[in-house]
Amino acid sequence: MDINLICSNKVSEKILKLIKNTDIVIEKDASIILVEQGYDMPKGKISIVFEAIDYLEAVEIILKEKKNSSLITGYALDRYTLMDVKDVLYLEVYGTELRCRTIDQMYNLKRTLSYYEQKYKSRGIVRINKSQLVNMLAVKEIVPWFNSRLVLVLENGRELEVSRHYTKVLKELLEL
Amino acid sequence: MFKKINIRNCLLSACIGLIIGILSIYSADSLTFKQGIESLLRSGSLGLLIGTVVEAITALLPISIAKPKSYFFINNLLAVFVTFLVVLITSSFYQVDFSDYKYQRFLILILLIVFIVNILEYYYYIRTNKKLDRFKRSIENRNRDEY
Repeated sequence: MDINLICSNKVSEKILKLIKNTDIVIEKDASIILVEQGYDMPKGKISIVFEAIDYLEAVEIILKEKKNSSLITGYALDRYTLMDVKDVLYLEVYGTELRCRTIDQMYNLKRTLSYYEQKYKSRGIVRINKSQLVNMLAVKEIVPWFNSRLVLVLENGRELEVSRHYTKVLKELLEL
Repeated sequence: MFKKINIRNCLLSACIGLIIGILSIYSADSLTFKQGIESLLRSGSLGLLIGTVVEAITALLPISIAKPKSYFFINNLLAVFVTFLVVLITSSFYQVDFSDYKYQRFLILILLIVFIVNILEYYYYIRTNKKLDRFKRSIENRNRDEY
């Protein structure tokens, strides 16, 4: 997650210390800015304005937002549902739809497969062929298969095929 | 089906065919140079053919039967079938005497290769799943740190 800081050097140092062990990165072009009161808010960005004394709370807001970023919005049974990415088994393109499978339900998603691949890569969501992403946490077993392919057996017993190209990628990921 | 066929595996099979060809020349008595080259080409193309057919057949297998046991079973079944085919073809071309010590040694060598490949593949399967567990643990730890 990228943020930018507009504040005094003293507050900046304290915030940098706080986020040192997280994967929050300070980026000039970040869309979320922590702005200390008294400094100008940049246009076209989301600004979180805080009093110098409340810098800790400002960082907490960012961390909370980061936690929420593990949620995926899915549509099923005429309603939208928020699900944690760790509950997802796999995502797949089915016709023109993008679907997401959890243990008990299939949801329709709005964005593209590439979007979810990029966003949840660090949470173990991995591309296994042109039309499927899998949650590696839901993989029970990797079975070697013919034609230099791999088959992933999921917790719910479903088998997913890793294409030859993505077999190489997966092997690199697992450091094989 | 054709998309799934791995050309590299077919070529590898042709190479194995050539190696077996060399071994069969060694085990057969009194072959002229021309006969040797012919048998080498024959076993190479036979390897390529067998490799392509095996790739095509295995491409048809549904992944719903993908279990470690079924993989190793089918793999060995194919190995035994291919060995049998090699025995059948070499014996028809070279009039090999099956009681010949050299030929028996050649067969034992093929079976030994099959055995070693199986052991290596099984080791690879165990290693892959260990790496998977390790990867899952690292993701879980990362998630836990964040929450």
